[in-house]
Amino acid sequence: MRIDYNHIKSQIEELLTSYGDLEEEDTDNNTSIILSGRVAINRSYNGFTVDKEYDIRILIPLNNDELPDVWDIGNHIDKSYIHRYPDGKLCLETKAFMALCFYNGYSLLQWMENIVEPYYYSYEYFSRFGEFPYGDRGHDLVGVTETYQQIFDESDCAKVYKLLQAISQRKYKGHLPCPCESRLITRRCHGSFIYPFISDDYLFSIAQKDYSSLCEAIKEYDKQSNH
Amino acid sequence: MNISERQKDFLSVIEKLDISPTLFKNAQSKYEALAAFLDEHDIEATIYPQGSFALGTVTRPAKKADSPCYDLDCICQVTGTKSDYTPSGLRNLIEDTLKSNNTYGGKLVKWEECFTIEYADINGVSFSIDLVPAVSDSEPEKAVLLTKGLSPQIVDTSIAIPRQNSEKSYRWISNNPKGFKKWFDEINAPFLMYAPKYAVRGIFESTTAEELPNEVRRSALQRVIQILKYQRDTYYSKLSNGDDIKPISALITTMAARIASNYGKKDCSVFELLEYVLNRLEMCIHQTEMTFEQYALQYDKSPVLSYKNGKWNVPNPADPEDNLANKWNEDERIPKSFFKWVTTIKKDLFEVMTQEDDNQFGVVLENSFANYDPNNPIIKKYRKARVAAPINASTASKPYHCS
Repeated sequence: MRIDYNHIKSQIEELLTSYGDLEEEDTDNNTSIILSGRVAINRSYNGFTVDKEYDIRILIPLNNDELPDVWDIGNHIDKSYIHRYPDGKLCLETKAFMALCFYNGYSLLQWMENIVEPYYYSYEYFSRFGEFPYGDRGHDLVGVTETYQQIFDESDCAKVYKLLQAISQRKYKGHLPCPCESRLITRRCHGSFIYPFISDDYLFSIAQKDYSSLCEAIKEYDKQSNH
Repeated sequence: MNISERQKDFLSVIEKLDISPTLFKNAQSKYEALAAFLDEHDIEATIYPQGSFALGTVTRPAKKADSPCYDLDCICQVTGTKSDYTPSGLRNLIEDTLKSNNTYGGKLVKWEECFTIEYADINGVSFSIDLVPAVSDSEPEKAVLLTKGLSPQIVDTSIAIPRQNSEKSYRWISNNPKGFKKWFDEINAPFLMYAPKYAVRGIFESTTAEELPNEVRRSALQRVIQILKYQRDTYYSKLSNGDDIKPISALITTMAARIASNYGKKDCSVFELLEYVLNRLEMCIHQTEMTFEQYALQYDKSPVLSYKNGKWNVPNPADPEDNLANKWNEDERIPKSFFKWVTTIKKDLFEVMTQEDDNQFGVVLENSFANYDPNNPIIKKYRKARVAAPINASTASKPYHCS
């Protein structure tokens, strides 16, 4: 996601207006923007409300292929929580999911509202009930595969693999049979789901990397099974 | 921040959700009319409330918050004993008689143990009566109960209920709601002496203070049980399979009453007793970390919820061989979620209650009662104009776990 400062400036202002206690730190505006401060999160789901404040630090990378990150600088999240790195960085979502959100037009404010706030909400819900309100992603490649299952609206892992394989070849032919082998033509099957990953360079690079990792893992698994 | 005002406000929400004297009287006249109807058809029967309706611990179901409906359980005890009827004979007798009448026949819904009769709304509040056919247990069964160490007064009220096995087959099951009530009432009596005699109710009827009939006066113990039941229903509704693993009402009532019976201060406030009950319950988890003897020495010689030889046990006061925590020994999620729940509500009702921030207390109220009474002004008093934005699960992020 290559963004430059001028492109993102208005979105930063929108974010600072919505979260009045966030402030922009002095940084080199060529590489990143850092915002830090207290954010109030007042959200509900399934009849359970969380209304709390959290001290966070947001890093928005500029001019490179990275996604925004958040650090829990107020140590609100328990250190043993599996979706938090030891340095306080939050495992917000998989790259594929977040990148697709930005591809679909998310502003930074929408990213806060639909990614960051639900992350904190999910943590509070899990701490209280021992269950995730709308699920969590599995570890490493399991979580990556689950993400593509959701994005492609496809529960069959083997089909997800075939769709990723087709993406890695970077050819979209809507009138040809869908790579999932459903016998439908692509545009009437998974076409709309895989098209963004073929057409957009950044999404393509993520999907290709995820596909390579999956292939490696399958190869490793086969090697161990043969021994 | 004023803790006593917060506690008073919390209790006013509970009180507002309680059954009103008018509804109680109405329900009473309805089941008396049922008994009179059966009498007209040569069935001599006594109909009396059982469970939370009889114990004064009724809670309002969360469904249909805008037109609340209470489920009231009643026993329809036909004169005679178990030896005078077959289980299906008794069940059919009641069913056929009710069906013969237009008033009851059209409203009848059949269940494994009871018939549900729904009644119309009164001021937007309705109720249904679950009628359980029963006869007195026969003398040999009562003699067995006496050998278990129960008092003759409790054994005397033991009944047999037809329970459905398959479409047309029934078997007898034993129960003793009157015995349970007698046991409960004895523990509750000293607490009831200090219960408010008047209540201001603005929601169901006049807004003036009215003297409460004994059946709708609530002691600290009864309020504690109601609070625990509301907190249970709200908490477990969020868990997958919550209905299967939540502590049953008879278990909550028995444990709270047993703990209260050992509490010296009978003129206590609801929150004093609630804290005592929750502390005693929370303590029980330590039995899993040491021998029973060590636990007895360090914590409690006779825990209401005991854990011996890997088994949880809460004997039914009306039948000591009936373990109310039986399911706990078949599904480890039940004790696990129970202790998490106890710790969670302790935090909500005692830690957050004493925090400076009014809004956090408002959130506790909202999470506890918005399902029952979303427009309650007490919730708004603490939440002010703060409205939580709903999360759309289909677009919300799912936290990831990467190395």
